[in-house]
Amino acid sequence: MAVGTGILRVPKEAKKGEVVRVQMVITHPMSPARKDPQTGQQIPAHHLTKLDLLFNDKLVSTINMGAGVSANPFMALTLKVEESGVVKIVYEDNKGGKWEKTAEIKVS
Amino acid sequence: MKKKLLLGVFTAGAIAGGLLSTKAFAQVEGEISPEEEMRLVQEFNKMLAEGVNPGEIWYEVGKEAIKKYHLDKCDLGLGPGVFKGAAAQLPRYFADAGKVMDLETRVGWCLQKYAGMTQDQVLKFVRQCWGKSGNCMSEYDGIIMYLTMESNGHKINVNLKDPHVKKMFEMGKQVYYTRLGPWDFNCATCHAGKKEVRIRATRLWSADRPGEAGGAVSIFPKYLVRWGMPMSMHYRYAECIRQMRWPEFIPHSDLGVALSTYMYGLANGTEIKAPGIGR
Repeated sequence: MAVGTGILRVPKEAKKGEVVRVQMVITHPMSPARKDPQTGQQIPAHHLTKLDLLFNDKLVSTINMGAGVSANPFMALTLKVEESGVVKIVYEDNKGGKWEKTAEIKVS
Repeated sequence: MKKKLLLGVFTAGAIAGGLLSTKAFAQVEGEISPEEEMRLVQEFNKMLAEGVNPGEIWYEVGKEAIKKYHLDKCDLGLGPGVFKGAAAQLPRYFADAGKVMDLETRVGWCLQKYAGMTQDQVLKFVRQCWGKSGNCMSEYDGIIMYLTMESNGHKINVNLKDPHVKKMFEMGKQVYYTRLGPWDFNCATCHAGKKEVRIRATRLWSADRPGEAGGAVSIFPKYLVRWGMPMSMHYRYAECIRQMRWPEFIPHSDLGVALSTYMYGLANGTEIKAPGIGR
């Protein structure tokens, strides 16, 4: 229930040809590599690197992220829908975590 | 100039400390007036409100934590395990505890009764993420978020006719308006009066202007972008009290209940709309 949990929100229904907003929020510390101020030890970076947006298993957009993105990032992408389908996001971080989330959208 | 400043906010990626980046741009091109700064803050807040609130992730955390700590036996006033709409009628008098309790105090009490925690363990549980902004997921914050969100849409309805609750309301009102501490500070120093008061670029709500208390408490717990985690009412009390240089606030104390009773009493009739979001 910690790092990597996400909320994916798309409108449940849309008209054919409409541009919908895909909103997502992912829990992640998004921290750069830094030194512990007390001990001087190096703390490695921990942040998301890539997020792919797929519609019906076809890649639509990619977001490449670095440590500059703030914690628990909220991202919104626009998507033009021509047919009903499944919106899927696949995201990974630099420590090997890989997650995905799906949501359905009905297009009339 | 407006477009450039807004672009600065967007290129920061997600919801960054947007205000910092806009300030940086402004200093390059010349100081912006207080009115302009206010307008930019309102636009930033509007942008935050239009998206998904990261605080909603704590809803899931809370759902699991309630099972883990056996809080499905907890009676918030509508029966054991009945959570829908329960937060809207709090604070209220609980006969089994013999005192008035608000949501957080009641959860603390239930943790002692059903999860076997001692009072010290409860305080540690409450404070587990305090001061640790960014990358701290508190089960306690999750529980409070879940219980409050289950009352989303319900109107706050504190029963001020109950003599115990009325007494707490008067106590809270007295604490609110009595100047205390080395700086002679109180809640009313900032949050009262008919005239608008501002801290930097934020307009503060006032207990003396009707309706504003409701707007303030109905969105708690509030997700704070600068902390990356939600802030509960008692955390807010602890922060305000620290800033006023009053003695340290103990979560779930009678002081917290008195303040909650006063503010939620003023907020009667407002719909609960958790989580809120702010800088």
